[in-house]
Amino acid sequence: VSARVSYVAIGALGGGFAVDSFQAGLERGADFVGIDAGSSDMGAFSLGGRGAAFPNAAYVRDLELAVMGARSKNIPVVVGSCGLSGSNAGVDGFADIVRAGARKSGQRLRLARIYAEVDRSYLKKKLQAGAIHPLQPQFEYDTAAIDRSINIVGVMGVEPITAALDAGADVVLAGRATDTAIFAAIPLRRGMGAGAAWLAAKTAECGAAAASPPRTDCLFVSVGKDDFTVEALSPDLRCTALSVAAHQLYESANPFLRTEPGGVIDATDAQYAEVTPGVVRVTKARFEPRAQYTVKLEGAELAGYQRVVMLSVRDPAVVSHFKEWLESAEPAINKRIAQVYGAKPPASFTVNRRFYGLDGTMGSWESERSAAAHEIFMLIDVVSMDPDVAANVASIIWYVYIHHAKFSRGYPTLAWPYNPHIIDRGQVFRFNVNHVVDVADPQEIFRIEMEEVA
Amino acid sequence: MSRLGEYASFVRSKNAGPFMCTIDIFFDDPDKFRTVADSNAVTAAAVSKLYGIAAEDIQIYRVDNALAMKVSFPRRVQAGDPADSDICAGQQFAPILDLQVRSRP
Repeated sequence: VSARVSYVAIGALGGGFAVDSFQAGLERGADFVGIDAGSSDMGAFSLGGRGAAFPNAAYVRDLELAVMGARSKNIPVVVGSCGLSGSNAGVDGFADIVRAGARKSGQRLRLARIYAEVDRSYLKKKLQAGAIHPLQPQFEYDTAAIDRSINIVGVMGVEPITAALDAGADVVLAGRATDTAIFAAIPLRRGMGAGAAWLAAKTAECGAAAASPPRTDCLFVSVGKDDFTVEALSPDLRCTALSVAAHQLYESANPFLRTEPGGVIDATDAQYAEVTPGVVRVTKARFEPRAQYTVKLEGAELAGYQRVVMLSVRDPAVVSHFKEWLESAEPAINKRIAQVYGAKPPASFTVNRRFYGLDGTMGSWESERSAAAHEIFMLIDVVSMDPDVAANVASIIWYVYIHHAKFSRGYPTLAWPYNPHIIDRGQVFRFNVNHVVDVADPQEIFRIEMEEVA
Repeated sequence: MSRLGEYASFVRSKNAGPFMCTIDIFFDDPDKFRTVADSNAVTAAAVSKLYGIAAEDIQIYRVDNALAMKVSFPRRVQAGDPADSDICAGQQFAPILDLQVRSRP
């Protein structure tokens, strides 16, 4: 039994990493390669079935390099949240890449696919049993929401990954997983300290984002019983006590506590010290197990069909009195909608308007109301369950705006960049659950499939 | 009085999951960090006024070993909602640069 477990962490599969850094990590004696491919940050499109974060070629480059490098050292690879959302399609897509890569290079390997999609009737029973609880911010989750969902995944902890490794997997392709479970599974399986393993995983999950300057590259992590160390693998990057401590804040609402399926990572007393140049040692991390194991749910439902129009205005008369100009156009828009549809359109619709130069980025959170831009860009979309309604309303708004003559004596025309002027964005989605489900067995939601790839 | 942006070395915002926005305020100088952290400039009340968010929904943290302060609150709409305008919430920090800091004599 080794006293430490070390690994190369890749923080965003498909976003790239330097081959020299990766190779340096392997040569340093990494015991495994951990790769995070997922996020819910980019919206619900991926879970809704509209693909991943990066084009397939980007995943092929990164995944082939990682898997072949790890195989050359006979160490395992753990990939979590395949295909961004960790849907079954995401796992299958990555499995195709691994199979094709192995075939090309004549490698034999044992592949585990862990599926994270959740059965609807299982969830409804859990709902009935009162075993589904809201997280903050709270909102309702009911059987109707389950039925509306295009896809629902559970966010796995380390246990399914550990089970796949116990079954002899060389490459684990996990569906939706906590970012940390990907990197904590093997150190925990080999008996390293829970506090160290979990906080190391939190540090590693974005790769060299914990270094200075932060960058998309891999990170080298070594976990012991009571401590872990991190270091960058590229000569122009360096981890410092401050850069590693600062990274604990990244993408976490609470900088000290982070809830995992089986407990809470506690960094309150963690100590960070640069023990040799570029190597940061972290001590006093804790992990507090919880009696009830919970699995977080992520689900996506259709928000509607979206059509987009873009316009810009440079006319100083309009820019300087923009709100007034805008409001005065509203009656003409409503009148034209009524002309086309009568009293009521066949489906309801929502209009989203973003005015760049005014408050396009911040919306109602904009605090700067006095800055005078010399032009305003209008990004307007209409969302409806009826795509024709979305297209018609978008067209009406565009046409009313371009010729709206509030501050002109003649017949003005606004600017727009694209033809055709209406952009069809197809289906758009939203998340419909922010809850955890109590489980008796950490693996009960997840299904492991083993295969020999030759 | 001066602006928070004049003290901080780096300020960023990001999603903390698709329903929360979190702002990290970093300092490269321990004195500047302490001046801001001890001055009561970054409070739920001040952030509430700036963003128009209910004060009870705002979490404030002081992280000494990272020379940082953190502010977390629910997003306006969930990440990627059709009405969203900043999917990773990466630009939502900008107003906080204007928080007023009362420097100690």
